[in-house]
Amino acid sequence: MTRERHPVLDGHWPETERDFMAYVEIENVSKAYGPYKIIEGLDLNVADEEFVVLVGPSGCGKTTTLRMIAGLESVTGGTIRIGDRDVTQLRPGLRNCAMVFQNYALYPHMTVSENIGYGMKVRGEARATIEKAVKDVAKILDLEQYIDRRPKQLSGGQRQRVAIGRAIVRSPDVFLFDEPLSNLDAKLRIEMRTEIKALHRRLAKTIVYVTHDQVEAMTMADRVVVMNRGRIEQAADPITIYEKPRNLFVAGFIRRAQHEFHPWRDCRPGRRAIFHRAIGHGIGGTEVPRGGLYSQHWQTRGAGRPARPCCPPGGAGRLIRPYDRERRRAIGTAYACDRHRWRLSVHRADAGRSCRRARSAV
Amino acid sequence: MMRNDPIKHVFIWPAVLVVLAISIFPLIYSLTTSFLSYRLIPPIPPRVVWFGNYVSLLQEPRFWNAIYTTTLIAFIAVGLQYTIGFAVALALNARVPGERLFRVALLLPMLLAPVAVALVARMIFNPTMGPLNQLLGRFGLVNLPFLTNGHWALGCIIAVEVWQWTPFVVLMMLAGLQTLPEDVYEAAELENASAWQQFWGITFPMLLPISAAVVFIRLIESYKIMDTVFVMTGGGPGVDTETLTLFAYQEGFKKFNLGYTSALSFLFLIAITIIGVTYLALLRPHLEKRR
Repeated sequence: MTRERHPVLDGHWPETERDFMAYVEIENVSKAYGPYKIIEGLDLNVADEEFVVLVGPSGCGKTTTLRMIAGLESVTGGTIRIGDRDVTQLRPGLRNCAMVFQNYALYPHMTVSENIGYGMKVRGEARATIEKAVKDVAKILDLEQYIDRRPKQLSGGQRQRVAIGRAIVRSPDVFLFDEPLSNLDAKLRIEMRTEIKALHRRLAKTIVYVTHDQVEAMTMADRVVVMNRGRIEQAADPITIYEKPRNLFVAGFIRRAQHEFHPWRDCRPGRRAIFHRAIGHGIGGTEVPRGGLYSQHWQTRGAGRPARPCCPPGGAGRLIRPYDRERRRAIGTAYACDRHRWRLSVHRADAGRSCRRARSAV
Repeated sequence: MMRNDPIKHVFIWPAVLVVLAISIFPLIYSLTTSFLSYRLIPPIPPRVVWFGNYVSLLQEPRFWNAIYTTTLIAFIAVGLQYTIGFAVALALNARVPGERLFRVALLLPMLLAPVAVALVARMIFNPTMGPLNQLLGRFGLVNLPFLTNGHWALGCIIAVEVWQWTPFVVLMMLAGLQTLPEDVYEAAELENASAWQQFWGITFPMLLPISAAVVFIRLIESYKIMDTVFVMTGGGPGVDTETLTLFAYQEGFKKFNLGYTSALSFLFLIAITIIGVTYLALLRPHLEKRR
């Protein structure tokens, strides 16, 4: 495993510990508050050193999921593993996760250095070790001149850096970020975004990051997990999420546009459909998707099936037919599978700005 | 309106006069009295003795005994009130089942009049007829001299004080606990801090300002203890449980030795001021750190 040496923990941590594979496996996890089921049968795997962002509208269960990984919220059913340890029933302190909270959750009566060093102090480490580690972390996060201040005397961005410092000083297996930037102003948010991302490259740790901000998700994540009503709608890298949203919800949430699906034509299973000027007919000549026809424009209509492409030509999320610039349309031939009826639909918003990017990808 | 507008006097002077009449005047009056030999019985004309009253008081062993007794009661009672009160507040804050009932039930003693509490306590602790000794007798124990032995009587007074005023500490500490942010504890939980470490590392220091206030209020109040002792023991046996206020009462309203009593009140004021100032001076560095 190639990994940058941890600047803080060099020499403090046993070699075997550093090679610990900190992947997170969430298996069929559910959460209910009394009769209210918040999360049902959630499956999510986060690879070692991966930066996964959980994103979704408020109330979609992303924070609950994060808190269940941390152990701050109990699990109603299912298992959670970190590395090869089953941590489902472990208390938070034994899971070796570090969390950065939305409201920073700094200890108001402690100085910056005490805040960062509290965890080590609690574990009974030597004062010299703590001081050195705190110093190193302060250096990384550019907090050196504030080390003796109290949280109240710091700005929001500095406080958040302290909270991050508190997380990295203990070299956890997994970092959990709970909307850490939502209390910061827009400019600072962009700065901190870059900083957190740089920190991830530097520390090479597994990160699960919760946000409701699409831009944050798209810019920081190795993989974006879009959640809605306690379910995962799509989990993929940002480009895929952006260009090939699996369904309407993902498309709508990520692209911030109201997409409309226009039914085109029903086909019987196993039959061939031929398009020519097809889309133009359906929704007007200018509204042909300029990136071409993608499989997410297909909907299958099997009984009880989710509305997503099942087996369009070339597989899910693939380009079916490129856009023909001269003729300003996408035309072609496609085949339906043997099992499902299907229909072709087009995002109305695909006609807009968002599709230009898709075109360049084509 | 300008600063030197004469109308300001209309607003200021009534307030000044009221303060003078109800606060400053009695204080000065009593200060002057303390420099007099002023007895109502037998009625002899007042005579200026300057610090004579103070000197004889400071030479009086009964005065020092009263100071000792009051201090003992105040410090032990407040210490217990704070410890027990804080513990109960922590328990109530942990959302135990039936917590609401406990909350109301625990606050009841504070709402009772101290005289009534003392009366009930005197009956319970009655060495010959009290239910407590009867109960102990059932277990084969001998009758205990609850109010007739100096040490036992002090203990009983402290117990009643603790019983009555712990709810105040509970109320204040509970209010303080409920203002503490939850995520700080979650952060500590993730650091694997034990409950004990969380208490000493987070809860206690974060509640230090409110603790300081509560202890201060209770300490000053406890120094002024009067009705409980008056009803339960009347300062007896002998002067074993005589507190400063009770001593002042005996001198002022039994012997009508007003000059002497005024001097005593001022010494009392000085003593409380010294205690208060020392207390705040000791705590200041810790409190300022938390600002």
